[in-house]
Amino acid sequence: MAMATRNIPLIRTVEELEKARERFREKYYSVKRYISVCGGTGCRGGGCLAVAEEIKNVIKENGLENEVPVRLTGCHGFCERGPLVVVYPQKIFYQKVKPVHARKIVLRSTMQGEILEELLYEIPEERKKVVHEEDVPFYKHQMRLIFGMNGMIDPENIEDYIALGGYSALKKALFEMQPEQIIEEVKKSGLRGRGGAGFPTGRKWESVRRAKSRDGIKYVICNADEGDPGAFMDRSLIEGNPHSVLEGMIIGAFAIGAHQGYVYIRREYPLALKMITRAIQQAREYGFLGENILGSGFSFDIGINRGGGAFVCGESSALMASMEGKVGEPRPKYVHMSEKGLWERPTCLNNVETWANVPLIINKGADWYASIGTENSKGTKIFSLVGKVNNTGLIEVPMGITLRQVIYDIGGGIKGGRKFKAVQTGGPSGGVIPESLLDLPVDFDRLTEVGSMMGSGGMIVMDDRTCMVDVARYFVNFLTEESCGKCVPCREGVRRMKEIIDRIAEGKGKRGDIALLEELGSAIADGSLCGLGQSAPNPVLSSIKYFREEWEAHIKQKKCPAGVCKELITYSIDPEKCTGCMACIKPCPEQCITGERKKPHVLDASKCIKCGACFDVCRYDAVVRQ
Amino acid sequence: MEGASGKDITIYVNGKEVKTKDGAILLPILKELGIKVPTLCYLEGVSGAGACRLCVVEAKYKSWSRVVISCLYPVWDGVQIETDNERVHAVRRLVLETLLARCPNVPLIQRLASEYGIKKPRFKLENHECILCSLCVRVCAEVVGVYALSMQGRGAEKVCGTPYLGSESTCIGCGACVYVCPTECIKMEDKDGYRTIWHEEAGVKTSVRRFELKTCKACGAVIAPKYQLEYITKKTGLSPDYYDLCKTCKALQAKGLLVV
Repeated sequence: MAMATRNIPLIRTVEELEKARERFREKYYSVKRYISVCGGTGCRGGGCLAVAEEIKNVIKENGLENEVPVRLTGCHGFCERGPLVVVYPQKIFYQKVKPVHARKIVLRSTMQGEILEELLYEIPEERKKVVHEEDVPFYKHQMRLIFGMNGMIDPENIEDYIALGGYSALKKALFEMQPEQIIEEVKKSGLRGRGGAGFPTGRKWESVRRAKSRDGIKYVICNADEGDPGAFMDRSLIEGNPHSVLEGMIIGAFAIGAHQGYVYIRREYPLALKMITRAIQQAREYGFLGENILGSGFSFDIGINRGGGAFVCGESSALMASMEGKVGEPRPKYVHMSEKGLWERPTCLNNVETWANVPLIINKGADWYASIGTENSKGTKIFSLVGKVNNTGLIEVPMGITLRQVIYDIGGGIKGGRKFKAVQTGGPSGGVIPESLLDLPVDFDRLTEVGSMMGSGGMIVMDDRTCMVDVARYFVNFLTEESCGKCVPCREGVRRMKEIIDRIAEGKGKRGDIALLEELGSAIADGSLCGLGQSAPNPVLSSIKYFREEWEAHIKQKKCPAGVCKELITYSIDPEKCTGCMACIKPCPEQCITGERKKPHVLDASKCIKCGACFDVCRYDAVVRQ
Repeated sequence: MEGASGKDITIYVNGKEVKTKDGAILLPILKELGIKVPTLCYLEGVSGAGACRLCVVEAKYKSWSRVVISCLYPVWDGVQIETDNERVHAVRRLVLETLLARCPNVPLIQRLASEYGIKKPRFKLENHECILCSLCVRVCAEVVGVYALSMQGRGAEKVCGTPYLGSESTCIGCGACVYVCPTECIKMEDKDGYRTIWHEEAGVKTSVRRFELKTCKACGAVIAPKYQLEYITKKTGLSPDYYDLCKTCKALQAKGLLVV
């Protein structure tokens, strides 16, 4: 019988790595020009694959295959303006590109250096076109340390990552540093967990290294179970630069003494799953995973676990229960995961973004890293900026940047010139932050101080047409469904909060309801088992704290000032303003608007389902919402 | 906390000094001190779940403080425990008021709630009887070893029972779940040579399962469900005919007074 043969890795020593790097640099970066097409999920939705295909066709037709490589990269972040195409070396930034533009981009812009005005980004207020990516305000105010490479490399090709310096931090860690030194470096950098709670990463590593395992086995896990509504930064990192995450994990494993790692990733992220699977395969082929990595004597491998879609499985102990094949429920963590985690072995679990920070810290040093950010929050943070803001997308900013800078300088202000009302940070565990706190520096501690939290980095911007009771209702509804149901305060308490908020939004709120919500909220925060329940009241409590009048208006006057809560609003037509244009008649699904051309229309409120379709189409402000 | 060392330590319970071991679990210590701590999902002999949150107390040290569950909390040197302050009672009242709203007709919950001054919950009343403490699940898995029950679904939709709440399961009919259920929503009936076990809330029966009862070859007395006896003989290596006779007849046989 033949012995099972092990594939010999392509890169076996440090010297071979550096030689390979030279070779790959030559192979990919000796060309004069290339085109990068954003292949992130957002741009894919906008049709970037067809754009890339057409660009390749044009290149082929003109026999330019060897002269102009096309790179389908990860997410560039500016999802609002996708599909995005960047022409190198000038870095000409094109947005909202369609397949019909392919010919121009290849033949005129790439080959002749012409700038295609019609595809450039225009700064709205200044009516000024911008040529280069770094001059677009959306990018100008960012600090893209982790996310920067996303727009450059082909995530499906490990050689591209190596050519741009990839796995050099691993080399440094394995050959120039002791495990304790690595931990010391991470501690000194001030890196804190990017998954939500912000626990100091170096301290976590240290306790896993010190913890005794009954058989010596320890694990590292990458938590890629991103589930906050409106958050998609971990997904984009894995889709766009999976090797940076793997490199961080290998360094971490070496530092704590683990030989097996896992990536726990959502099944609903098919592209991220594909990219990480491929990256792990390639890392094995090239010798960054497996036995005796780069000849260092250190062995380590990574497996993939696919999550089934429960939000709670992003919580460390629930995640590990799920990995062990049990019901995804958390357990009390009086004994930490760093002592008894996966299969009761010391386990180091970090979030995707946390892992991706590690190679950077090792390469550039803790002092450099710690020079960015605020006193207790170092480095940068990736946020998904969404909601009623002009430039939605993924942004990476230094800790300590103010909310105002994020929303106005990067986000380009509120959509449609409306008034800013609040920003929700930290997803369902976070809270809403009002206008009076817009100059708050964004870091772990300051966000917590005002009743919200950093969370994993969701940032939902709301304008004056957003009802704060409705927002709280949305999050509480989400949490009622996503609570695992194990402990009473979270399972029973949160749904009772929902019961109260539902009646307030329906105009049946009672005197004392706000106090009852506050009473429930504080007991749920104290009594719940895991972080999900402990932070579940945040969206409600912060909303009451900053927008109490709006809650009171719902209860006392039975009015929804923002005009959102259906039971509390009525639509009518102002005969003075109505021009009889008939625009509102057609969109009404209940046919409750009647009238003749050029005569004021009438809305039958008894049939109205309050969908707001007439309100949205009326150009004369004749539809009145009260 | 850097792992339990088992060393001699001093903790302070309601201001009183108590000598104990590092890493010892708090609830038994409190019980020994005669301090009444209500529990619902705790049972000696099965692992702790930390689900009901009724046994909460406050742990303090200098400026640090946290509400913890005593049934799973390992104590450490110098920690101060307060078992009955307002913060603790607020959590217990939340648990009991919401459980009373969920199960208004369960005597145990009614009694516990009234001990904390709750007569009528401020929420819509429902008609459940199961509080989802998971004691039945844990007993079945950890003591009986057959894993016939599990918690299913999540959030407000969470239920407890056999797979898909149906009749198919690995259940052997031992009835251990019936004995540990604190709200008595798991029912059992032995009738006409059969045992039936089911979960019942507001008259709705789920996880219904029927077992043939084995009777004594000599006197015809009911011994136990056939499945259960098969399970025991298989697990212990006893001969398959070991349970052919009931206890009484076996004793008679041993004395030579009964010949089968």
